[in-house]
Amino acid sequence: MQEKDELCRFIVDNYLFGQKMEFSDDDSLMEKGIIDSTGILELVSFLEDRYAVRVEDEELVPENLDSVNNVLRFLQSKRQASAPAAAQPVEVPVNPALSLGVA
Amino acid sequence: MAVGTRAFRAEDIAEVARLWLKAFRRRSDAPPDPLLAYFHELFFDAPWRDPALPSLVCEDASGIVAFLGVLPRTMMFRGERLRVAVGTQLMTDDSPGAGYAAVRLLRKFFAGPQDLSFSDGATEGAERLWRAGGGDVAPMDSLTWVRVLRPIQYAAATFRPQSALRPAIRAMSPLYQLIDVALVRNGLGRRYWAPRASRLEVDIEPTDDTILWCVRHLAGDRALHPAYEPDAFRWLLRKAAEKRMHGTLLRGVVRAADQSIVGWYLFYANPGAVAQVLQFGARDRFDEAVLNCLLHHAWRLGAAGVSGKFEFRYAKALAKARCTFTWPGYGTLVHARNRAIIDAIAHGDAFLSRLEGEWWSRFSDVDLSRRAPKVDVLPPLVTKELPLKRVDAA
Repeated sequence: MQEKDELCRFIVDNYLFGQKMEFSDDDSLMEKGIIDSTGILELVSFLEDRYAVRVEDEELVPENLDSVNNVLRFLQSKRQASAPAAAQPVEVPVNPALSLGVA
Repeated sequence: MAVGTRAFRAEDIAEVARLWLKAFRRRSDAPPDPLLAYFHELFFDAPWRDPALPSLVCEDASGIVAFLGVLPRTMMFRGERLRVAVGTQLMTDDSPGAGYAAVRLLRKFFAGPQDLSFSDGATEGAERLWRAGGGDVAPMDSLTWVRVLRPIQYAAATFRPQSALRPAIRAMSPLYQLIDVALVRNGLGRRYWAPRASRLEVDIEPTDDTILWCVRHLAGDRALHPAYEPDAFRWLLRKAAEKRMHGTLLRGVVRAADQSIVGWYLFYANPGAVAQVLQFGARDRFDEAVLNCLLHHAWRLGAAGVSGKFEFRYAKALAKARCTFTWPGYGTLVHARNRAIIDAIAHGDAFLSRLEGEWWSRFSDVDLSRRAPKVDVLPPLVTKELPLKRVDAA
């Protein structure tokens, strides 16, 4: 929720200059005229600086950046891709002699 | 949407030329042969071609949707050799993903092996994109200077009326010339408009090697300056001379009384039009005198005015010569990982003439099929009234 608020605030402050404009979380920012190619670069810089992600060249596509929901999904996928693998229980071989309490 | 970015290949030329016609000329017809040939010449036949610095295309399932031309150059920065990439002809199609394609191209360009990325013909839109990508504007290098020589003809040459009025404006050209003659005939008008005759000698047909000597010795004291191989420099001058939209490319090398070279210039001249300076340089303390030679040369050729790229080093000479300064509608953009290079440019400690960028290319000519005429001799008016002579030795 915080990320969504930050993202919407960034869009409003940098592309709408604080003006109120109706756009839904699924609206295409390009088609609505809110963002252009310069805005894409600025949005990418914002995401990389604010959320410590690296947007690779092949990730520069509308599916990742062209709506609020697309950006949030993209950030989520970046986090999942960079998270370390969850710890698995390690099976420790048991010495039969010790387990019987044999001295 | 954009799928991939890769190096421009010769087999892409037809598709890229078609995109160029659509983006820059608003035409949908097949690209003419001279345009195809020029793409090949500039991006594949140039002596400075560097496989590590290719031009770039962005393509999706429909084909090539964006292009960024790269002209590799070599410069010296404080004694170190620099790889320089001049960006040119950035263009996209009008598909929905075009914005993303431009972004991918620019990021790929900035991430290249070059030490300095540079563009001297960027529109405001390209400038915004460049800055958003981390690049800088070189504000002083983005200015041009103008010296009006014949005020009425200058006004007519720079006035951009609606197309219906243009034939009438052109037809009145003899009247403008008469008014200008009357304006400069009297003492006050002549003193104000006409550059004074020079006492220095101007060689009007110096060799390419002499010009290269001037660049090396008179521009080499800047922190950043071009490093040309002779063959590449001769090729570049030849290509620059083919540009015709500003007239014929002429040259001058200025000598002091002891025959030492104190300055040089390259400029396009067309009587009645504004002469455009391609390159200008002068030894310390001779900048005003060499500038005066250039202005007088253009004056004698009937130029309505002279315009060139602003250089901080010559600011005082230009101001004293009654030049005005303006922004021409396009900027000079720079990008370098070493901030010292950007700082040197910002402080005017760089020689970046129009010959070092993309300005000299013929992409801005209206009709690429027509080549500039070769001029072997200057009009008689010039040779009779100027201390000009042909001297070949450097």
